[in-house]
Amino acid sequence: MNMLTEMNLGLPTKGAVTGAVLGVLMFATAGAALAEMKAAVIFGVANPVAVNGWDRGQFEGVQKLIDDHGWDVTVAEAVPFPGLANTAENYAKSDYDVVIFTSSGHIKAWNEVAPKYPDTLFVMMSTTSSLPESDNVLAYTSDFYAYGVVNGLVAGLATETDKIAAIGGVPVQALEDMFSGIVESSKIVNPDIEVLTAFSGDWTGIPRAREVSVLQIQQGADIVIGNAGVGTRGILDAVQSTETQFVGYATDWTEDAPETVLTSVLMNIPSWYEQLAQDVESGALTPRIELFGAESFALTPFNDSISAETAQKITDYVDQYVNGELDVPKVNHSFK
Amino acid sequence: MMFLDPDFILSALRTGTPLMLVALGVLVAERAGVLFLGVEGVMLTGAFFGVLGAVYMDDPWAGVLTGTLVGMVAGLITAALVVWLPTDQVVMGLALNIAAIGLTSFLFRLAAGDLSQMTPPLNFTVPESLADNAFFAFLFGVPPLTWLTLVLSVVTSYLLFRSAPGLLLRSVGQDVKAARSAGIDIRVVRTVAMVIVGGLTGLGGAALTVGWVRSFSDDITAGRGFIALAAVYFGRWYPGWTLFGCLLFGIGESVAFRAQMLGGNPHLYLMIPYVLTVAVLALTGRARAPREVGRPYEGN
Repeated sequence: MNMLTEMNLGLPTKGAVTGAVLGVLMFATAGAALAEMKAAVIFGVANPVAVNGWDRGQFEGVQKLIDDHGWDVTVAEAVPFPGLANTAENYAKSDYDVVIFTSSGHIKAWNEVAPKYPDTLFVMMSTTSSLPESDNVLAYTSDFYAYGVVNGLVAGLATETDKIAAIGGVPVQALEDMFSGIVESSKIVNPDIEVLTAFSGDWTGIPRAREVSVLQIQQGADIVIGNAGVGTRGILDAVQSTETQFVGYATDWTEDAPETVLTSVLMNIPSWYEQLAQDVESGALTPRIELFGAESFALTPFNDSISAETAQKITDYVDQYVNGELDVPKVNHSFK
Repeated sequence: MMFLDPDFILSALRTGTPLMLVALGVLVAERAGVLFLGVEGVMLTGAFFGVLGAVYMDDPWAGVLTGTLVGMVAGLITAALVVWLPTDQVVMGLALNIAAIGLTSFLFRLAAGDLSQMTPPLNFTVPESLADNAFFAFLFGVPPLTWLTLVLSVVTSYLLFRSAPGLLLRSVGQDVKAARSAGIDIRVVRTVAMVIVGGLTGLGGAALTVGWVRSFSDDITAGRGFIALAAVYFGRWYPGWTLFGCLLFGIGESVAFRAQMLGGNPHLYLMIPYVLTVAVLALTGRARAPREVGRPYEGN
């Protein structure tokens, strides 16, 4: 009952009916958490665990729900955009307690389905600037600008050519924020820096991402930051083939190519899922966007491509930024 | 220096090589009178098994061989279905493509742990004494499979148009009644042709994964098999023009990547190769395919 009271306190005033419905949902959700939560997670890619970066990070989060919280989780893979809403609806109709979307490309379906099924909690594990007009929604994501800042500090200090490259899949808002952070922070640690940006045009094309990356490297970039979904493999291949250095995205890329991966900037996506589980268990389900900032990021150990002195310098700058001692102005660049 | 420098040409060759190999396969199939719509699926299968072979045998050439051999098996299966049964070539081709996506995705999932590593590189190393010479640096920069493609093109062209087996194959694609009257076993010729076709297509798939990007992902071919098919139509079923069509697409893709540096919306530039393909096909006018393409041979 305590949980129910706490949740109702957080309700926006939308009338007694809505409040009662949400109250029932939350009570049911909280009650189910004590037993077993039934959740569905929707991926746009196939075999997410094999896609290092964003999707593997999400999958590790899913694993956390299963292993640490005993949730019964169903995973839907390779769901095409036109089928997202239908898939989510089917889970809601099948009495799933929670439906999780894993990409900002899923926002339209999230907006469409959530209001129709008030008894199910719809969660967005990706960047969004607004919530659906519904009380059964939550969003967890990283501050991509801050994430870009950390990447920019790493690349700006590690480069020897004063040129770094940021390669993306499609210029969505999260990437624009990330690349803006890279531009601004790398300038602070290296005033001579030139940031080359390019997009492969999709999230799945390894060959395209590879060739786009090769081109940036031919322009002089010696540190490459890649965020192109499945295509990031192509970026890594281009970097490895040209003996430059790669900054891993979201998860640890070291095992893929130890000599090529300078470091990885971990996004700690599983912590979003941990937060979700805690919120469900505690009943803190007020609609909100939970933003994970720089303090949630971490660097994996550097490889041997940079000196110990440079590595220390990078660590110091990142620590300063995380502790709020380094001020990086927020400037939004457009890369479209 | 942005366009038409050695790096640009190498990029176009890397992009065009898998297409050229696959297009050679399609060309042979259609010259034998088989509509090879399953090309995308066979290419995808070759791409997957190429990576599998390269990773498990730790040798890129072993991967290339594996992709080729599996492609030959796929070609044989195609022959069994469309030559011996014979089923509708359009429906069977589409079914094979869908089956290949399912099969490779399923197997990729099983082997995902092992395939997370890159395959060993497949390239030439420039001798140190020649590294400073731009011409030799370029020559050594050309992917080995591109050289192999050129050799195979010459061989295919010779066999098709200058040899007795080639005449046999073309006659089967042009007029089965006349060919049968001359004592040619249509089914055997088409079966042999499809095994060769499968090998070339599988090799094209391996050229994409092992020879170029060194990894596999679901549906990595992304329609390249169909682009190769379009190149054959563009080339009017002649190897030279077909390869030129593939190279044109490679050039279009390379232009698209480079044009991004001019600024503007990247999606606009990424349309270039496809617009180029459509434009070229439209401008080349109506081509006449070998007469028997797509017609099932009933044996009477």
